[in-house]
Amino acid sequence: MITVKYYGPLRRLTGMPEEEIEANRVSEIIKAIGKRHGKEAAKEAEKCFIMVNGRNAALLNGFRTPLKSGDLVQIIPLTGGG
Amino acid sequence: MMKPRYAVIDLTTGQVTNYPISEEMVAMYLGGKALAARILYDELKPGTDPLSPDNILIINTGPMNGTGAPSSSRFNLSTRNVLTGGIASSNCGGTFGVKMRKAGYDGVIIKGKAAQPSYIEIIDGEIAIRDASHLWGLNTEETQHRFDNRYGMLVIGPAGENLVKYACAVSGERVAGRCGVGAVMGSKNLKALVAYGTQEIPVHDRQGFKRYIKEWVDFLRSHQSTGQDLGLYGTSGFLNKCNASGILPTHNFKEGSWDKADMLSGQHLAENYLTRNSGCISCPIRCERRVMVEGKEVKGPEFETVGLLGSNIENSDLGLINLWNYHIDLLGMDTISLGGTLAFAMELQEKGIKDFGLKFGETGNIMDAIYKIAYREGDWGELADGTKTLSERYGGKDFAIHSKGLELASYDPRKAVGMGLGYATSNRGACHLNGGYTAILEAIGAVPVDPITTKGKPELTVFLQNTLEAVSTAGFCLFTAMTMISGFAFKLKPSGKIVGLMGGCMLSARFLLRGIWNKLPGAMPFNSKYFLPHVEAVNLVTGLKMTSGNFLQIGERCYNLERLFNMREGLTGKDDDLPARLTGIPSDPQNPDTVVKVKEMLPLYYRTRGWDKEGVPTEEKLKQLGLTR
Repeated sequence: MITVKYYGPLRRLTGMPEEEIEANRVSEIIKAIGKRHGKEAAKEAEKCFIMVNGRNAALLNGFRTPLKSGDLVQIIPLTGGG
Repeated sequence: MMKPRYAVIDLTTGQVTNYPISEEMVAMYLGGKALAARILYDELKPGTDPLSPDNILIINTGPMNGTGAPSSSRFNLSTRNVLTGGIASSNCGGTFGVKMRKAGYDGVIIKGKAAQPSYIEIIDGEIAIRDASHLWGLNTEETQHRFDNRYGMLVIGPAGENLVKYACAVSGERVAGRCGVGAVMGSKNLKALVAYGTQEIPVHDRQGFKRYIKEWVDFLRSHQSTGQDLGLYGTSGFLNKCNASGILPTHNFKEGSWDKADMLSGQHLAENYLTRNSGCISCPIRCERRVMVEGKEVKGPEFETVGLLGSNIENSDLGLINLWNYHIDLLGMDTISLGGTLAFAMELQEKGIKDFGLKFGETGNIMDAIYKIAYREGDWGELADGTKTLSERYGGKDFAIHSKGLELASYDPRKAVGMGLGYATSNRGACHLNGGYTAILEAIGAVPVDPITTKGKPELTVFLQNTLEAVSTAGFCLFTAMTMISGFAFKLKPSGKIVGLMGGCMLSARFLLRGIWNKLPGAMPFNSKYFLPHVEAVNLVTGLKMTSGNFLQIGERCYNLERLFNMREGLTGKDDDLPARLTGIPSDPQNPDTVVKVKEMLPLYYRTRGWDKEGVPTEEKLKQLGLTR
């Protein structure tokens, strides 16, 4: 099981701060979010930073980044700033 | 080109004289911190005690201040650094700089010490030194209320009067926070400067400038970073991202993330405390937070304050941080150095080295401690000397989180190692901005570069340090440089492979960035709104004909000159370092690379800068930049 934590609008769309999801890749997390919480939530997740155990998935293997049980996935809105 | 007007104000004798600035000096240094570094290097006797009457304090502007260019109210204070002994430059977005220019002066050079508390009045080209006995002891808000509210003001609070080493100067509610510039004012018996006037700010091509500014403001408004996010969530908007990336300082930088960090985020602030956003003069970005404290609307805390008075001391109550932030500003202290020093004192207690009665996670006595520090009263008064001095007095140097004496800003650099190199080499001490702010790319921004690798980090750090230096020197806020990360990147999926590849390309540019500095300005013979929109704006205001290459070379020149200043004051390459906690203890125990390998990165950093193996600028480099020792 993967622990998935939500921030920003996703917390509102899913109605929860975190949940457990069974998945082998980041893309499967997005799919599961769509199934559980609707298309809008899945779309929002794609627009966010997806951090796998503290590393940006973009620097791993993007949406194909493999996951294993016990991993932490944090989905955080993209914000510029300084 | 109009030559800037500078005055020398000798507080000991009361004399005011003109200080000539040549056109050549403007072309080489523009203004702000670069021109101030030149003047300090020429005028300040090496070895001068920062708090002695012989120290010189320069308060100056750049050519853009008051022109109406976006985010151009930033003015500068430079002096010998109270905390590091090297150069100090502290930047502020308050109204004083613009008002000083409208009063007829681009900068003042303050020497000596007044016999009694005094303030300097600059009204329509006339400078007078006035008695401030009735203001001494007042906080920064009370002091400013005593003046005509049309004035631009720069004042100190009780902390500056009591020579707290990290005392700041305050203009409106904006702060020149770092390096103890408020203590230097206090040491001169200088409570305040006020300025007012109606003179026109010179602009070389007013029509062309007006057109260009409109285009630039539209561009800033269309970019997600400067047009949307900073206005919505302020500087704490990326706090959750910092936490998830492992760079949010926690427990005196022992850890890089905290399970309660969400309670401190810009989003949490927006939902629970924000009354509205605001901003500096002529700034379309509007990053300032307004919050209610003690029944009135005041400035909210910045990201640095939230991190260092939040996770770093294990406090998750953002309401308390709003309150402390307000009182720290009233007293006139730097929230970064103060937060860092409190955390260090807490760890001294935890390790049984020295008990100041301050504990991680306990917030009940913090307000009391803040006041005692500002007035240097009791045991807590000792904390007014800062982390470095405390570690020399009691021990704990391994976890005394400073570089050269200046406490680190709110980014743990072990998972943003370029930021670590920036902290270690920053001329004013461990400052994220003077250090190049590489963390924006490594852990925060839309185009991520690998945060752990040392590859490409020296080159990227030099590039960013020189760029930010140039932007600051002209009088702009550094946030105007945020658009260097293309708006296109914000339209992509932030965790897709494409942005990952873009980040990889950025690191691959290291070979180009390594060699470019010896080929400036010719190697960048262009101007572009998408790269550095500042350059054309400066040209239209000054009549100079700079390219991006000229502009970046001004940044490089300033960095080298500040380095020369530091070396003359006894700092060497050995001071380009970080505490052992950050260089020797991995942030992630499973990953030995999550440390800042300063020694590994320094040789290439020095080479990229054209410095020798000891970090000394070579004669060839100085000649190239037109600098003399």
